[in-house]
Amino acid sequence: MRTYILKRVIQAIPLLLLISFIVFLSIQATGDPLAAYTVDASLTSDDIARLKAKYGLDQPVPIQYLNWLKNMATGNWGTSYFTREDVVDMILERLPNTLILFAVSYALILGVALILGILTAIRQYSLFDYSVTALSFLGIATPSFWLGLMLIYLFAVRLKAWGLPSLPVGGMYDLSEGKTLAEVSRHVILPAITLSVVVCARYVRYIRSSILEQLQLDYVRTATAKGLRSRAVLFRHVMKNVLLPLVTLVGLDLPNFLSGTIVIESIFAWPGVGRLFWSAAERTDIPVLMAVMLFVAVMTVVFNLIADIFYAVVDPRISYS
Amino acid sequence: MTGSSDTSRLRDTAPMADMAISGALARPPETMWTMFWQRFVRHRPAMVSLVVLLFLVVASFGVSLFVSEDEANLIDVQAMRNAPSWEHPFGTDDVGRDMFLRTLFGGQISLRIGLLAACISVVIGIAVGTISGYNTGWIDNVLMRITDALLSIPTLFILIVLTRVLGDHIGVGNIAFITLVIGTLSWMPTSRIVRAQVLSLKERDFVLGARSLGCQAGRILVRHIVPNTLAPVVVAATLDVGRAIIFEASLSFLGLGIQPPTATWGSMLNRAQAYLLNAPWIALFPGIMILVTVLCVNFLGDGLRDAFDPHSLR
Repeated sequence: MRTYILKRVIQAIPLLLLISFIVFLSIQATGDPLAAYTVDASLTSDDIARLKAKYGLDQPVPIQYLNWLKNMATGNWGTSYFTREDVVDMILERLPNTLILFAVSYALILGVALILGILTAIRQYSLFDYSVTALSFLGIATPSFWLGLMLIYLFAVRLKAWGLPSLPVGGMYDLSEGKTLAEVSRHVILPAITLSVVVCARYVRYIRSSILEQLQLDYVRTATAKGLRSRAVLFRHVMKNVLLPLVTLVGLDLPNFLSGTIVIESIFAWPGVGRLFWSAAERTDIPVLMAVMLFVAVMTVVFNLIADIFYAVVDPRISYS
Repeated sequence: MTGSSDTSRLRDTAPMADMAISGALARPPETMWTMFWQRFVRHRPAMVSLVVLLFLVVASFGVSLFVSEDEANLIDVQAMRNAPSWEHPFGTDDVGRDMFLRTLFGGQISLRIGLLAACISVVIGIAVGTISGYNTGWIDNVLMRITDALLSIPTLFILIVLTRVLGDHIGVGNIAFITLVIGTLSWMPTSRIVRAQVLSLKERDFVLGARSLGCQAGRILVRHIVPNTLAPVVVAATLDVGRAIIFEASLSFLGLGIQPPTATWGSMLNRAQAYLLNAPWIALFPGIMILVTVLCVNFLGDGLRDAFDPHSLR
């Protein structure tokens, strides 16, 4: 067991190096990282040379990469070109907000997907099953940013126009109310729903077909034959086998989910990491762009690693060789 | 949905069996493609989707025969933010352009980007997958690690950086560039599918047969192995089309994709948020078009998957 975990961790290292190289290359493609500075006409060529030396941009590209990698590894992620803030602080400041959004979204996704998945599976081919299946096909095809706009229109704009209690258009809390639990939860509803729909729709389909597949297997027949009630068969035996692969699925979906946060956090003005990335992209704030990109990629790899190890620990059928 | 077609398939097997006996000589022989087509037609959602998609393609490309693009981009300050009416079926936008015409012209670009990006992704995916599956060893290792790495970086992050930063050099909103970038960032699932197929196919007897007849590796790959991987690749490609359309729409929505006045479904949504209160139709119609297109493309993929599967009931 321990050697398996160790092996998986060691395997992740070249992957992380490769990712860092791709991140570095994609920014290197920008050409001139000092373009934002050189707009300023008062800079002389001496000044630019000094700036280049300061940021190490006069070195050959491989050396620049190694320097950058060393800095990233030692927690020296640089300062924003625009706000002069430490990039690590900028990310840490916004990370909790993104995590709140994540936690609410995943609670919503798993809760709704489990209920609908189980109900559609045990009532296969019923009207309910058909309607949920149709809805989940719609959900999978919905562009989430458009869904966000529609939800804002319905629940923020229309409800308010009709004088009904409505949800806020965006932001994390009203300045007049302060950052209270009630305020934040009122504000998190719409972005969380928007972020959840596509993933939730996919999980409903997965859970439904997975339960139906499991119900065909011999262990279910054995459990039923020994007189277990169908509810006990479902919850005590079948769901174990359905839920385990879901852990891997969540890990594989994480990159898409993170991509979603950029757009959703921008629409709802949610002060998270995705919005930080987007505002950095608008200003070509390269240190922030590189750091956020590497950060989300490393998070993805680490989460997938944890998912794999968790799976191996829980499922005795996986051999650790 | 699949359930209804399942039962209809079952119902049809009995008369089919009779026909097979009495009419075996009268009917033309079944080829792979007629059998494929028969199975595809049975998948009703996929058939409907095919018709809808063909209609969308004809409508958005056909509109150029009657109206010029300049007319669709005509600014009319007399008709700003008009609600849908007979004159403007989808209403008008914030500068009085007819949303119906713009939705059609937008479809040209969105559909074109979706199809071309999927083609690029398929070509790269097949190339990487075959090379990697046929040559085990370090080439396979390197290619698969690159695939893993690209899968670990959320695509929209790289897309934004590349379009934002390279956009300053190439020109923001260059359609060919955006297509190329989306295509080169979505081949990874395809390459994994192809690799898995090649790994199993290259051990089959027909490959051994070809090799013992003196066939070169390149010829074995192109003539014998790649054609056998195409079925799952086509299914994956349909999903790529949907993904590419949504990626382009996301980029354009953020203002990094296709630039005004050129319409795409995403760029039309770009400024819709500011007018949600007074003119919600600006946001409504382009989004519905994306939804319908992606939905149909997904159903088409489902239908193709069933039709390619020789085990599915006829």
